[in-house]
Amino acid sequence: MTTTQAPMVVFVNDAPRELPADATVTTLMDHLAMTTRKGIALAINDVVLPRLDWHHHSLHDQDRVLVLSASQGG
Amino acid sequence: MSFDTVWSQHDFAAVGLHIAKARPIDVEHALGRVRSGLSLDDFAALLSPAATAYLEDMAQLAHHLTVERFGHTMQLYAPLYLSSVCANVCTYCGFSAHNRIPRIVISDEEIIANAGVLNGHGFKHILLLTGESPKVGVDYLGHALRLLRPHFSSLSLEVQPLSSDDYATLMAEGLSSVMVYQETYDAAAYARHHVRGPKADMRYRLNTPDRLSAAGVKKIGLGALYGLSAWRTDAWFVGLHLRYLEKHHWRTRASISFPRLRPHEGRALEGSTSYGERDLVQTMCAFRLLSPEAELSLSTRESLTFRNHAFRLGITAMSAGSRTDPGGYARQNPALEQFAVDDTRTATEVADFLRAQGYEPVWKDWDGTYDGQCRPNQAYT
Amino acid sequence: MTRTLTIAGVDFASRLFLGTGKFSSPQTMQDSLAASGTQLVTVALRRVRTDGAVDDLLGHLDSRRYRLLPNTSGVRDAREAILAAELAREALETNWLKLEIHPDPKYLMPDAVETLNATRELVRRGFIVLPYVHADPVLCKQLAEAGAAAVMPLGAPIGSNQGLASRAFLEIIIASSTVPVVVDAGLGAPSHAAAALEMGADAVLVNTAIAAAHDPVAMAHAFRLGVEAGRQAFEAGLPGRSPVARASSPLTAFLSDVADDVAANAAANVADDVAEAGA
Repeated sequence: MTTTQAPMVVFVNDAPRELPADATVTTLMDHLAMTTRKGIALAINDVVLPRLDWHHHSLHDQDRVLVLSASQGG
Repeated sequence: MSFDTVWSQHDFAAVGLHIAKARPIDVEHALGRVRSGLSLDDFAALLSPAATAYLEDMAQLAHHLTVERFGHTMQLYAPLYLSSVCANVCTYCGFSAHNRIPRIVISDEEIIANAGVLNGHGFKHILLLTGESPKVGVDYLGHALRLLRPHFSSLSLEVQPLSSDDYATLMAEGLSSVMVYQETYDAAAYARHHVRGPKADMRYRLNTPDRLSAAGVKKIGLGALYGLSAWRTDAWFVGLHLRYLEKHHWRTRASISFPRLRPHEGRALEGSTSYGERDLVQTMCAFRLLSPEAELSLSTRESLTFRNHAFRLGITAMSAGSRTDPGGYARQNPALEQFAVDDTRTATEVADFLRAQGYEPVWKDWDGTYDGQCRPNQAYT
Repeated sequence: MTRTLTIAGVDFASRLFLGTGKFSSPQTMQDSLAASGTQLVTVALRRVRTDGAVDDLLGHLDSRRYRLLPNTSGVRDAREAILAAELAREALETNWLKLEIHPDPKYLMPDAVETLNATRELVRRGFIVLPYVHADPVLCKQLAEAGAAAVMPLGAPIGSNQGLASRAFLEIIIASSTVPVVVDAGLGAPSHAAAALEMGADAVLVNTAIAAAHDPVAMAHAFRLGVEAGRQAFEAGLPGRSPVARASSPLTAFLSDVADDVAANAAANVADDVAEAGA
């Protein structure tokens, strides 16, 4: 019998999103279709996560993910 | 960052040429820009030969600026020489090591006695002077400050250049301000006039204001001994030093003084240049226009007549009733005078004169409280 | 040709910096930037839209032409600013930063204490910090001491277009600063920008006046001309106001009576010439 872990919920810019239990940050960015987009910055629970760490950083249930990009502003 | 770096970027002779070439229109532009702040180029124009034709304009402006900033007041202070011992050989100084004069260091009793006399005259601000010698090092100076602190509200020092740590030590004993005059910013002339001794180290002296600021000394006196080299150029370099202090040690106040070689009959110092009273007025006014807030100081080395007219041209501090022999207020010793005083009026006479001119003599402009004499109930960090 | 402006070792031929906010369209923004001749533009960091909509500012900004200066606008204290700075460095791959902290959403006044504290920490973390602050001369000295690469005092409240309301204090800051001074906020017309440059400011930053103009591209060009005119005038040397008229009786007449100092010095036994000025 295979055991699949229940999906988890993370908050992306305060909005809840369901992800597989073993999701990494790259998984999330793939879901958002932003993996290859430039000018993106991430913070997990208020700690900045560099792009090169996306691949091996596992997400956990209830994590708060902040996704920012450059936009118009003075 | 230290001043000698800035100083070495300017060639003394080239600056002199630049000043000499200033035209009347440059002087007029400089006078027009006083209210918005003069550049060092403007200052050069005001120091130039072309500016002598504008002396009255400069004097009027300098007078008005000073009254606006300082009101009709004049700080009075007295010099107190503590010793005549000196290890330096300087061509222009009475205490030069080569001169055969009695070398003394005044005792604690004499210090207290002199303090009493000075207090009796009304003085609350005094300037302590010594030659340069291990006998009057930081320990002696700290001790003297400690003795004098209860009697005066401001203690200034005009002694050899010291390290930042030494200045910090002295500040703990109540040191308020330090005068260190470069004598000349012309390297060749400096070497000629400072033949032997620690004072021959020009760069160490140049960087003294930086060390003073690092130690937190609140007021620093700048100046050159006009006549040792080309006076217009030396004055410009003092201005350069002043602007440097304003930018890099912006918490520090500056005081400018105007020591000068006085020509004697039959005894001209070799290599000196002439510097008369008209030149002195031009220099004083130029500095006031360059810096509306600097303290400008005039000593009793100048004559009564000159001081009576020139005091209102930008001066904010004057000495009075001065003795230049060590401990000379309690016991006179004319043979030990570092130089002759010209205006020999007593402090009371000078104060009376100022009042008659509508100026208020200020004896106390500072309180020792701010020099660490008191501590708050709770330390604040 | 006027002198080049250098900030943190980088040269700028243009002394007009632009904000990228409030433009009606990316195309208008691009054309305005081009017309202004600017070489440095500020950008904000915003939360991305996760609903599929694309807001790709960077695609419209040629990073070879414009240096990007991320802005921490939106943060309310030093802690948030530091987080925003790290995110900005990550997102835009630059350690340049415009530090802007305004906890008050109505007037958008900068918080001096938080800005100074954040500057110290950000400099320690290797950022090139350009702090936006009130025209407070002492604060600007402290920011320079803390390692700020420039200071950005405001001319007037953000978006107010009032011009140089803080003129008297900007003059003091410009006179005493050891780092470049970039006047930011409140500049509503090219004449304001020209006035700032004439006073000696090293550069100006303009956003609202251009983005909200009827014809932003033309306005951007007008600002370009104003900045260039102001800087040229400053380097040419403005004559200034005329001196105080003579109000009192002659002050130097006494000098014509003065004989040579030699005769005035009657002390025959003077041993030496002057030394220090102490007495």
